Amino acid sequence: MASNKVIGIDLGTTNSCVAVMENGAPRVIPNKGGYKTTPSVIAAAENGRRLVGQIAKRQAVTNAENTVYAAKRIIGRKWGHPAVETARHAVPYAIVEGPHGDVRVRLRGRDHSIPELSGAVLAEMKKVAEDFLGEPVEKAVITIPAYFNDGQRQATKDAGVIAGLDVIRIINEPTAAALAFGFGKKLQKTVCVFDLGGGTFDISILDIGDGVYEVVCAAGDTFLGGEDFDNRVIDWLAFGFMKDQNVDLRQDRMALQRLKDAAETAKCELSTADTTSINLPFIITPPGGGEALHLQTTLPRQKLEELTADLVDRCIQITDRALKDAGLTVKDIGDVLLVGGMTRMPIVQHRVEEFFKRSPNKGVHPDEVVALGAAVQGAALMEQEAGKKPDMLLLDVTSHNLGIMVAGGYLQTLIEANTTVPCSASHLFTTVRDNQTQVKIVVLQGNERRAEDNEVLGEFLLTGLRDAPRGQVTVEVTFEINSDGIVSVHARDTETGAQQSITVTTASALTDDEMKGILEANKAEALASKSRDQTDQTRLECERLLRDIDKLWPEAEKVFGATEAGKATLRNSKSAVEKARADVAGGDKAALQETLGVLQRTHQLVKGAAR
Amino acid sequence: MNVAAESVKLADAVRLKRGVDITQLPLGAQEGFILSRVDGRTVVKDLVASTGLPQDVVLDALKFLLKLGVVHKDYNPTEDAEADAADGPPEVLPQELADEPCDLAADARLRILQVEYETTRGTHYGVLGLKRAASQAEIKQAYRETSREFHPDAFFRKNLGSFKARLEKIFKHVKKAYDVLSDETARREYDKALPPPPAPRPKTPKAPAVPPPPDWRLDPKRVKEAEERRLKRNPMVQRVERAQRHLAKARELLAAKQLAQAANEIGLASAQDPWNEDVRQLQDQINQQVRDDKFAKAVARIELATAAGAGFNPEQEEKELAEAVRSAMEMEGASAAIYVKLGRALIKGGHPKLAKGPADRALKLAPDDDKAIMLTVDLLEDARLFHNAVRLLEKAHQANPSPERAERIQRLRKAADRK
Repeated sequence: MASNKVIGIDLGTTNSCVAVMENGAPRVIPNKGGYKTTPSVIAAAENGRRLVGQIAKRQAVTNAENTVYAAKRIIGRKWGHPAVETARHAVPYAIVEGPHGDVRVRLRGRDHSIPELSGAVLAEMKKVAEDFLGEPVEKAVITIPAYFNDGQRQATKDAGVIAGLDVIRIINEPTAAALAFGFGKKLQKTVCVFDLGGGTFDISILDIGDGVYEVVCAAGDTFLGGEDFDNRVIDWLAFGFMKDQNVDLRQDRMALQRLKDAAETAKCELSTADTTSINLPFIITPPGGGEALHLQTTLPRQKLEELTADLVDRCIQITDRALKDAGLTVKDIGDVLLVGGMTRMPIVQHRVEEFFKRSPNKGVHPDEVVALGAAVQGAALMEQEAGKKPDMLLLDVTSHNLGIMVAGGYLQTLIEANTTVPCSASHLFTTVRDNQTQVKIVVLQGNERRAEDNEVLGEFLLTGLRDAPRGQVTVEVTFEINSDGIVSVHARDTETGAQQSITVTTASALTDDEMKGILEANKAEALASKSRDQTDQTRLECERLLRDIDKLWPEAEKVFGATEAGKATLRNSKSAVEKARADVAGGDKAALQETLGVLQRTHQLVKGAAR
Repeated sequence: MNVAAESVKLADAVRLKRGVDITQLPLGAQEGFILSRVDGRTVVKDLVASTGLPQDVVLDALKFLLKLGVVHKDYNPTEDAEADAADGPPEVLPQELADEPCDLAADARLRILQVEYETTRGTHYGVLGLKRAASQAEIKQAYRETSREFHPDAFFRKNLGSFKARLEKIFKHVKKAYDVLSDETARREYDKALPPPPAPRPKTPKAPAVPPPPDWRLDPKRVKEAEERRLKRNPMVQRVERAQRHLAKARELLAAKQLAQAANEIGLASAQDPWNEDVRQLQDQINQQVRDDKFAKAVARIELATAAGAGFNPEQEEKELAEAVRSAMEMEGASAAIYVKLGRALIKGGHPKLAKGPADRALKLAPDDDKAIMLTVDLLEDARLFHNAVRLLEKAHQANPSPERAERIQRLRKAADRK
């Protein structure tokens, strides 16, 4: 029996952290090495073994091509996306195109999907927690940047499933930070969370009071984080070296990996020191042969700040815009939280202080606060499930507009950004040709006016429409964003009330089959539960239809009873319904599926008559 | 109601009349579509924009709707308030909702129903449980408390049954109510449109100048007639009746062996009433016959070819026959008997090799069929695979014993031993 404890996992770009609620307070779980964070690094060793965490990071220099870091930057992205293009040129491992336009990483000849890799990190975090707690753990709350879109959220959830976790909720990192900050404090104020992590920048403004944490505004940039700061340093180092020695270090994978490590270390050191020296002996053998070359230089803090000034500017600009969107001024902000390792940089702290005209709160640990918040939310949800009333509720928002492509290639927004989730919106589609049997819908997410500038969540094909003259079939399509920020789409024929089937024709997520393959390789257990769920779902749907039919029956009896033909129909349907009732009680998956079909048909008949 | 209200201007806002069952209206698709956008606030100009239809189409449709009495443009909030006072929020839980299997206690169910009532018929104040004079601080607190009560997280992983949709609706309205009431300007606008608080409701003097015409609903005869008309008009009944007619016709045609016409009739019946088991069964039966018929024709052709072409051009003949057999095999859904017949015809024509495919198919379709087994036995013997032939023949002998078969088994055994 697995523990009922929920772990909170901060799945970071560079480091991950896990926390749990213990004795009424959240605490971070250290890994076996005693560190509170674990590098989000996965590697395939020479003997084919998979390495994760500290051990993977340690061998990165000698095995750069088979070591994956910053997988979070490309998770849930489609092939050809700018983020993927950038990553392809910046990383030493091989990023290749997957079978359906998604992104894969090739390690020792085998292609891995990104959720699979992130899943390995999550599995490692799960193991850290299990070792510490001494019992198996299943449930988890995973955090992601607020600015993640649907594809990235879905992929993260898939990663959780691959890791053998029951992901009870996906929450936004800045929100999680606020939850941990407000835990047990009975706050009544507006808080701004400034989260500059390894790969992303997020800004969230929360209105906290009476145990309710309401996000009033979320904004950010998924291409802005510590890695960009590192890249500036790498470019500066490589440029200097090129000028002196006429060799581009970035062409050599091992040299690039060493540069990357050195840049990161230098950046961290400059948070406390004024200047740092970078020493990389024997970094490269010149292409024409000859003695190995050395890189030796010093980097003053001022130079680093100069190299990255525009990045910090962008953070402040986004913050400014977020405040304006929320209709607030800096005076309304009661506290500023700094989250993410990058906020240790003095210039970042200084600029934030200058902007808000107040010094940021020092009470939170930038690396751990997010995981702590996830644990807090997980515990609250478990309390709800147990029927107790926890003393907090999170009201989060969606950070992108959700809409569809309309004629002319524009985005028609159906759900606006900063709408509280869960939420839904409906749209009516009409056929434009006679006997048109399908409608294509392109669902988009993003804040740009032109459709093509936004992220395509999926192309849906609405099939099986009735044959009718144009304009007579109207289908109501409902878009729903759940508490995880994940979008789902349902369609219903407005006249007959029949559900329309929807086929996803483009999506970057793993297909069910692939998921199955990976899971089988990992664990068969999670799959069984999914199928159980489906059977339960079918049964529930059957029961619902039966109840509905029973309710409408008297009216249908009246309508059909009036004619001879109708009486025969009544007898037929009655026996079908009785048989279905018996099947629903017992019945395996296949029988249930068939019963569902029978019930759906009968339901339509009865409903049509009773209207 | 005001009859002069038939002209619609672009700046008018129309509103759905209370209590109108829009599913019973004789509306076309366009009118229905326009009606779906009518919410009492949107003015006609915006309706034109949001439906994307030409302006005159929208105006015409609205005029029609006004004439029908489905919508009205001079909306009077007090009328609605009075209608509300007539029923009011539910005080007891309906039995069917109390019986519904879900993880909610009875009082929680009733509370959900009551708040749901507020969302549809009540005011924003009612949804949040507030007095009209509530201060901003009170509004905020009420919003937070109501959110904590009705946010989906408060029912995390619970089976909610039909209450799920209600809760979603409530949660949406809570947010909407708060958005309006927390914004002083929006709140003032909203208050203006509200009827005065119900406590000291002014009695509107009702002075019927003309005695109202006798309500036809009071005349039992007319009510009965109307009810009958309504039942007859029901499109489903009409469809079912049409289907029955087609079904009867199909049966007749089938009896008269007019297969193609019967197939057509049953297709029509199925289009009208796809829910009817009888129709489906007959359709399956007819389809099977149609396939068998086609197949039998193919077999007849092969028989003819084997008979006529004997000795003419053996190589050419074999090639053509193989082609014919292959195309016959590709036909899905023929019965085992047909394949047996085909196999026999081929053996008779001197092409046992070609007979193997049909024989295999026949045995696969009906593994216990005596004729299929015997056909295969003959082929196996011909191919000198005595062991396999014996095994099959024993099976057939067990099911239908006969002295000839016993004797044949002996003979085949010997042949097998010799080999």
